[in-house]
Amino acid sequence: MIILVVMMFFLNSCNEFLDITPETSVTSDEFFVTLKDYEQAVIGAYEPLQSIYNMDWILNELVSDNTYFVFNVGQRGPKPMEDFATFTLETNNVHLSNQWTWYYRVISRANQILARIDDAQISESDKENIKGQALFLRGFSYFELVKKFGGVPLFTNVPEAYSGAFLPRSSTDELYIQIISDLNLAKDLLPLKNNQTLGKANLGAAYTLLGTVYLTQRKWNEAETTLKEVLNMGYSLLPSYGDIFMPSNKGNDEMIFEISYLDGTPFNVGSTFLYSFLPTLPDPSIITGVSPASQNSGSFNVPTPDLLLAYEDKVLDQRFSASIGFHTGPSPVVGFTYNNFPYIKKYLQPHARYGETNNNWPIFRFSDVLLMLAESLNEQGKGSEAVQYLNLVRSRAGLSNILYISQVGMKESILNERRIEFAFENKRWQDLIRAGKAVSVMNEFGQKVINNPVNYYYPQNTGPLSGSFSVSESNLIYPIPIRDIIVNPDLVQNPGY
Amino acid sequence: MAEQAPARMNASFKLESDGGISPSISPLKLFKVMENNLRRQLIMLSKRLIFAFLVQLFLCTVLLANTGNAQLKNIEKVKISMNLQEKSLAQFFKQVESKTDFKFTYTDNLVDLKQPVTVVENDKSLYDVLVAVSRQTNLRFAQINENIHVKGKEGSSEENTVSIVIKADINVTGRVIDEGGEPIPGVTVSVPGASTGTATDLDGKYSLSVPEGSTLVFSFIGFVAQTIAIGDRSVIDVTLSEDMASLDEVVVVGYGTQSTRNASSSVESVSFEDLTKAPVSQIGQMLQGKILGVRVNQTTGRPGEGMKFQIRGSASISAGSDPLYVIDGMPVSGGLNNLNPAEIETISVLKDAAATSLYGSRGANGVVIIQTKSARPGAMQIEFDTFFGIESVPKERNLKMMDAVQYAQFQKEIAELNNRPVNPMFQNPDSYADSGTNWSDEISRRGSIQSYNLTLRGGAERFKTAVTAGYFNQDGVIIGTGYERYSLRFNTGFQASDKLKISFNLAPTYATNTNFSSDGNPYGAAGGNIVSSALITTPLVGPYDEDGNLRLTASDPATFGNPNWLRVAKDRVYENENLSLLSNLIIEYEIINGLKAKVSANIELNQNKIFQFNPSTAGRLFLPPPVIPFGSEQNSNLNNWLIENTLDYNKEVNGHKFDALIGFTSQKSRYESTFINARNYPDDKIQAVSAASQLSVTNDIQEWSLLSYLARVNYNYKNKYLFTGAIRRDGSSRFGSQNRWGNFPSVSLGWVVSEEDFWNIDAVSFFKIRASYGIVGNFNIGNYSFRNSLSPSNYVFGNSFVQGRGLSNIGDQQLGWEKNKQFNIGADLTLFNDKVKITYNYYTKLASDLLYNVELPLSSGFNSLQTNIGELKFWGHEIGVSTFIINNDRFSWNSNFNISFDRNKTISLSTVDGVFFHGMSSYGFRSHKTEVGKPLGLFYGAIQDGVYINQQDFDNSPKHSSSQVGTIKFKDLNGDGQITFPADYTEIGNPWPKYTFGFTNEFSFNNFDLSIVLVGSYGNKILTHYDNWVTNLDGVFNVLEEVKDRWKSPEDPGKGLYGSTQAGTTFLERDRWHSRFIKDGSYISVRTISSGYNFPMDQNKFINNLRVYSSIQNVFLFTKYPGTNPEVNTRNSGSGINPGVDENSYPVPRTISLGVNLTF
Repeated sequence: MIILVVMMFFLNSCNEFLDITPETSVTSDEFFVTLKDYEQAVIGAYEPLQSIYNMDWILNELVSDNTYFVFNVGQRGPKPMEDFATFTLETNNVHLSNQWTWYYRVISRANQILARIDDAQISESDKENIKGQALFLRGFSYFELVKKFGGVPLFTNVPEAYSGAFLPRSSTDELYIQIISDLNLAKDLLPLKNNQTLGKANLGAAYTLLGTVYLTQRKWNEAETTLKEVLNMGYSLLPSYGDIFMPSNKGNDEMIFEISYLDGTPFNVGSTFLYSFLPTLPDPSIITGVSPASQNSGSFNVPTPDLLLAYEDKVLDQRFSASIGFHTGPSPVVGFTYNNFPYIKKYLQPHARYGETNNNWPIFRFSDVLLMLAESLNEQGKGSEAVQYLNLVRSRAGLSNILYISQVGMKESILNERRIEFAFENKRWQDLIRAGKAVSVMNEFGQKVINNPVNYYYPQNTGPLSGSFSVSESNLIYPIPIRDIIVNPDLVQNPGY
Repeated sequence: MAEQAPARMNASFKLESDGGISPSISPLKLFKVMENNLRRQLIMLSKRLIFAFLVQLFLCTVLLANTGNAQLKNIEKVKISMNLQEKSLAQFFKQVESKTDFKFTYTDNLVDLKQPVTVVENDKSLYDVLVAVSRQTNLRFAQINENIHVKGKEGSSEENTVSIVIKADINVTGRVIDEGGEPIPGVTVSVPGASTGTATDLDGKYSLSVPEGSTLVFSFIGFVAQTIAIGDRSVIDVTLSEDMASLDEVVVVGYGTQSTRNASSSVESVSFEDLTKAPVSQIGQMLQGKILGVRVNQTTGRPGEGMKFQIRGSASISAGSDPLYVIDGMPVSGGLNNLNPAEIETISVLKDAAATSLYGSRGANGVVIIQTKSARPGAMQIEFDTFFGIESVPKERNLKMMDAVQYAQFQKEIAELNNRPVNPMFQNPDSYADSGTNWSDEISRRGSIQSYNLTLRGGAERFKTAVTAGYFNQDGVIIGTGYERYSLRFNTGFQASDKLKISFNLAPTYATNTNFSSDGNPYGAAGGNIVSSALITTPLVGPYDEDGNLRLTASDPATFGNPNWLRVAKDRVYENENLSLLSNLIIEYEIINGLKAKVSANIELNQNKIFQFNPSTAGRLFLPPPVIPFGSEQNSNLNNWLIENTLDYNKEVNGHKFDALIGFTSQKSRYESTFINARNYPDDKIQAVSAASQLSVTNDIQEWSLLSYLARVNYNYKNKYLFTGAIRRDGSSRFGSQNRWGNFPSVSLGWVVSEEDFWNIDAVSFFKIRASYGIVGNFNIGNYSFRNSLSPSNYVFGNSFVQGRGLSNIGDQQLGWEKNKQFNIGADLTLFNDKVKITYNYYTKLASDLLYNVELPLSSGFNSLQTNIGELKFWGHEIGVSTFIINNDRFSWNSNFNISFDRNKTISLSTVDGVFFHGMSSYGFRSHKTEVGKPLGLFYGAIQDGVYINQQDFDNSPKHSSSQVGTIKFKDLNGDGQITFPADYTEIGNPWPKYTFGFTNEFSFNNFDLSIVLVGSYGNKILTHYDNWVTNLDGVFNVLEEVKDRWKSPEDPGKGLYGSTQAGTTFLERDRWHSRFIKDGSYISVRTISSGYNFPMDQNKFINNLRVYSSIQNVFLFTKYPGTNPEVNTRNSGSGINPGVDENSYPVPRTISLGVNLTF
């Protein structure tokens, strides 16, 4: 008996008995073989973008003069969000560390693909497409990081072991060199939008991104050349501004690159930002029409009075009614009532379930290319050419053409046009920085809030905390998340934090 | 009938063997495992006193029946009338016995009791009647005093058929002493075959009337029985010698048993009999304070949960600190929560490497070995035990929150300070005098426990069995919670032949509970944790509206929309069903004398289902109802099997004793679970998950395997010099192929100094020195940690959902065992004729290759990496003292005190700068810091330096960017003039106690006994994370009463603990770790007071033992700790990852119970 049992186990090799592989995940040894594996890996690299753009408005819109929030004396949980709007950011801000984590996750997954794709046994065209997307995503992510944090650790490989996971910060220049190199490679590999699966990075996206990078670097000529390529890729402005954002219209001719979401699945791939933008209501179905519903954590990213004033003509400009709604009624926030209270309507579209929508997040639209082109031309003194592109965008919105008068005036017109055209599309903060106006505009805005908090949705007898809105150059980039500095003391914090 | 007569004849002595005090029943001895000699002695003595009393009672009845030698009757002179027609011989005996004082004695298989007799006589002498019966039956009768012996006829001589021998009784007196000359009270003095006997008194003296020529037997547990023929002596003094075999208590160790006397490793053991005094629902509760070096904490009062074992301050920074639990040889996956305490016979705790190395890779945190009630041969014994108890929240321990008046005043002052209009509700605080709601009281109730256990044991030599059936029910003190358990254990043993023995154990358990989420922070999870949530709910709103209906919400104008917690407790559905089966098949074969082969096959199966439904009426904090109903269902299955093959050889040559063991084992465990998350139910009507409009399914499969070889040699020479060497080689699927196998050797040496010839210190009767060294491991990491693995990472292209994969874990191929080098040196001393027993241990444990999921910079794309990072050292002293202070025949008092001094220190870390941060995260900052040269997991935060009392104080003090006059002030540790984090963080407390102790006192007075158990801990700090919500200064919660002494103005700065309520300035005080959260966790707890009464049952033919007992648990708590329970640790208490954090949890109830124990 004993001998039998003992024999039984010696016959099986011991190592076989001890080799147990996970059944709910795959190991990398078994992965990266077939085309399907690489396609899945690319999907994995896109995945963090959904999380990023459900929250990106905090870092890029709420921080600007376009939107503000309702101060809830009782509910202080959202303080980390409010800190962006009031310039009281701390180094442990959860939204910063989330964005940092998610972008690096995209980079790490792209790095894994890039490390193996050249040796993959798949067709050359598949290889190019996959490699192009991975390069695009890596370039895209580093560009977002460098804008937000300055020079960050530059990983182009997956760390093999503990020690490999620690890199110091690279310089901004080193990052831009890598970004431009990635995108230059990507634009030789990616197909046109019509030849690419909807939602994936395509040739137009790569050019637009590269143009944006040059624009950010104030390389106006390179920006112009790059962006002009996009004009010939079949994109056009939709006649109706509101149609651009309809979920039924995903992938429309104006859309160059967008983050895709889908509601109604069991997999949490729907978008959630809409419910943050709605007024906080015990039953938000009175606005959304979607029930059952429960109290939402909303009243964030509320359009400011300044933004409402920036519309030249609220009647003629179809963008006003398409972008902003108003609500009047009681509020669960202590000491606050909604009285013709503005909220973002752009993404308010029919959906089936509370808390989950089918809205995509627009990254690059054709009108963006036109206005960036106008900007790069104007900066080079080609104002009369620039004004044509500006007027394309104005006329679609229902506004009359303007004439080129001066470079400075033109610059101002483009900046304001971008503010309206891309309201709540997270462009305003970077536009202000690029225009060199972020510090002055936000200090001015802050004084208005401090002087008249009720106008900025503060309940009676409340207002911004002391220390708010002392905006300086150091506020133009965010602090490196403290967690990474604690773990890796080689990382040097940005000045001012 | 044939069975009954002799049984009755021996009635008084049967009680002796059933009571477990006969030294002649060896299987009983084998399993008689006790904590120490003295303790056993004490129990024996109390039992002996009871027994002596019973014997006395019995003698009284005998005396009543036989009125002395002078009146002894002759059968010729006793007249009897009877009318028996063709009745059985047995009936004849019965009639005679009832009509006369004579008793028949016979050997039942030689006398046919069924044979018919006919006796029709009137007033005839018994002699003549017997002669008549003798003619009919072929039997002879001989009267010897009051007994009539029945024998078969030899030959045919009729004269001899009835004989009479009247022997004169003589009075024998004497004294019984032990080898040390001390009197032994309670020694049984009996005459074999006669119903005569007595017991010695306190001075060891006895006096007894017995027939001439009798033989006396002197017996007492722990001593060799002596048989002495009286002859013609009337004074007989006896010296009893200790029975070494019996004194050699046997402890269950890994893969076998060992005598405590000859053990050279550190093992503690308790028998269930020592523990049953207090009725409890969980095993851990019985063990609190009882075992040297073992800390058992009750971290929560949730019914059926929360007992946490920690052996020798064990802590691993991540790999878990729970000991390995082994039930009847099977290392089980779940803990002991669902094991019925009534099934347990003994519990052994293996502490040092010499004891645990046979569990190799799993022994690092110690091993708890549970032996269930085994089958044993002998008369059928039936034991029924039941208890009932009521449970209540110890209200004096509740956190003292503001009452309605204080709360309204608090809200009023907040509004005024912030220049806001005061809501009319808070305008007149005094109007709330004598009203208001205490929400903690609203959600609690009087709970109850009830337990029923029936145990049957018995059998013949070839087949024996033990069955325990149990039912336990607990209604928790929080409304809606409860625990119920049905358990059965069926242990059998077959002696198939002299050489082959087969045992089969089967133990199914079905347990359910309705313990919805209660512990931890109020913000939490799906349903919110009700204990903290209710605590901070406004006292101005009650659970019922004006019409007496349950409200939906409980909010006031200052608070968040909150649900009505009473309604939540009632409406929320939580059903946890657990069905488990533990089974062993053990085959033992004795190949040659002393060489035994053993094969055991063990399986543990577990099926668990958790169904939850949150109806629209049950919201959570920040989410007032009506909410969209949500629910979930989780189904899991565990299948864990183990096959062990061992060969054991025993040999003794000229005082050299060897015991060698080799073995091979293989184990595999597979866990599968499916979780269905159901959201967006249309309504509350259908709760099944299928009714939800949004379902998502996740599943998990966890599998591991372990192959092991093991060997052990025990050697001792003349019980003086002891040696044990053991080794286990483990291969585990959890480690990378390079480090898959680990070797875990150990040696231990012992020297029983008191056995040496030169030992002549009389006061010390036993003295042993022992030392051990060995290596064990810790393999408690994830099953697949060393692998790079990719998990589903999904996205959307256009309108299509696409499924992708993303690397979710980077693995360290070099990942290997966490090794634990352990050294133990100790001594056992027995003093003053076993009145005092002392055990001392010093140990060190060096844990190297610490397994830790070390944090990586997020910029690497990963959060952490499971790797081996460093070394930790543990060391400590343990002292156990048992004393038997008072003993006389009416009263005894013994006490047991144990104390442990456990320390730890970080020796090396491969992380950057030899530091890492861990524990809870609050806005990016961790609560604990571990640094080379310091103890593991010190609390980490800022040091509070009062509040900024006034403008001058503010201007002259370092500040944080958000500081204002009145806000909390911290110390500027780096001296840069500013308060910044973590630059101004430091270690702010040590979560590890300086010592922990247990103190048990037992008293007995006649049949009454009393036991008091104290446990305590000194010098540990607790991080009261609950301060985060119970001292929230925003006015959105109810808060601690003491918050009223906060900073209100420069003129009224309060006590400097709590700052201003100015809107927006409160987060620093609330959300950063700082020294105000650190509290002293020292305590002494009167854990249990229990008492019992044993009814004298010697007269009762059916009941052998009747005991009534009662107990109070959690009687008193002496502590400065302000929280409800200083043992609490809501999150993973023993782990080094975040020790000593209190987030508030389910109150540990005070239980008053009453029980009855019956043995038939």
